[in-house]
Amino acid sequence: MSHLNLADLPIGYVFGPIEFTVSEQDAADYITATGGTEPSPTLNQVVHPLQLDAVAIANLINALGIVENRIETIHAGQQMTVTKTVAPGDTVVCTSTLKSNNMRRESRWATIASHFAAADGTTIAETTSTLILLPQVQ
Amino acid sequence: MAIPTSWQIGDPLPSIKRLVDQDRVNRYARASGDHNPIHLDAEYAATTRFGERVAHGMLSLAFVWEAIGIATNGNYVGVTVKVRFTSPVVPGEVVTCQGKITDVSDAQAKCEIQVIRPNGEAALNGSATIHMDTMYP
Repeated sequence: MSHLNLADLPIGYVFGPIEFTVSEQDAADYITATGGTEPSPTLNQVVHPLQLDAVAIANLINALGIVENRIETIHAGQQMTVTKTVAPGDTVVCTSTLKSNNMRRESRWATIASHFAAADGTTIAETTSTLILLPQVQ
Repeated sequence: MAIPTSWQIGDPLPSIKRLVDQDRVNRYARASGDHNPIHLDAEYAATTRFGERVAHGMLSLAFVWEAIGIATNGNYVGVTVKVRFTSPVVPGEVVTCQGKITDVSDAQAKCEIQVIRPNGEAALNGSATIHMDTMYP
């Protein structure tokens, strides 16, 4: 599989859109992985909001070949605004846009904004991720 | 709504303690789809600047959202969370998510939030804004 080289991508480059659903099992697995020993009192029949963001970030990681190419990466910051909750099985459409992309002290800093919408176009959430791709050690 | 009208500056958010062990990190990787070897592969992680496996920053951030969900009775609509990841959590650590309200008005409440490692360093810190008019129209 070929991957995108972040250094080649212009500001405004669009990743996706990708369409996905979170199954009941996937939602439960995420809540179990992040939660405590007691069932969450606030996430009954609702997908954990951050799980949507996790899907977007995993998509970016795959698109940029960060795992396959062993690119050491630091997740420096994250912002999310939720405007609508999602139930398991709901369709979500995510579009991510490269907002900044520059070199600082031999590392590449990128800011990527993601928009999550329901099938009818209603906004679900907006996120911004700041990633630092470190120079690869040979 | 009782909760927002009772909030005052300085009130703490619900505190959450979580053991972040490698099993949790592995489960988070499967659930999130983030299989970066820095989190999973001890041999590879030893070659990185961290020198060992570290947990996903998004895992610590999930604790923040959980705390906010408890504070808002599960109403996530109208919530904005903004954080910087400042120190990696090493598997085996028990971290504490904590925060307090820093400003309250009819329109919104603001909180500062942190996830603290056992050594006292913040794994993340940032802020949350809860927009009352969206949450409780």
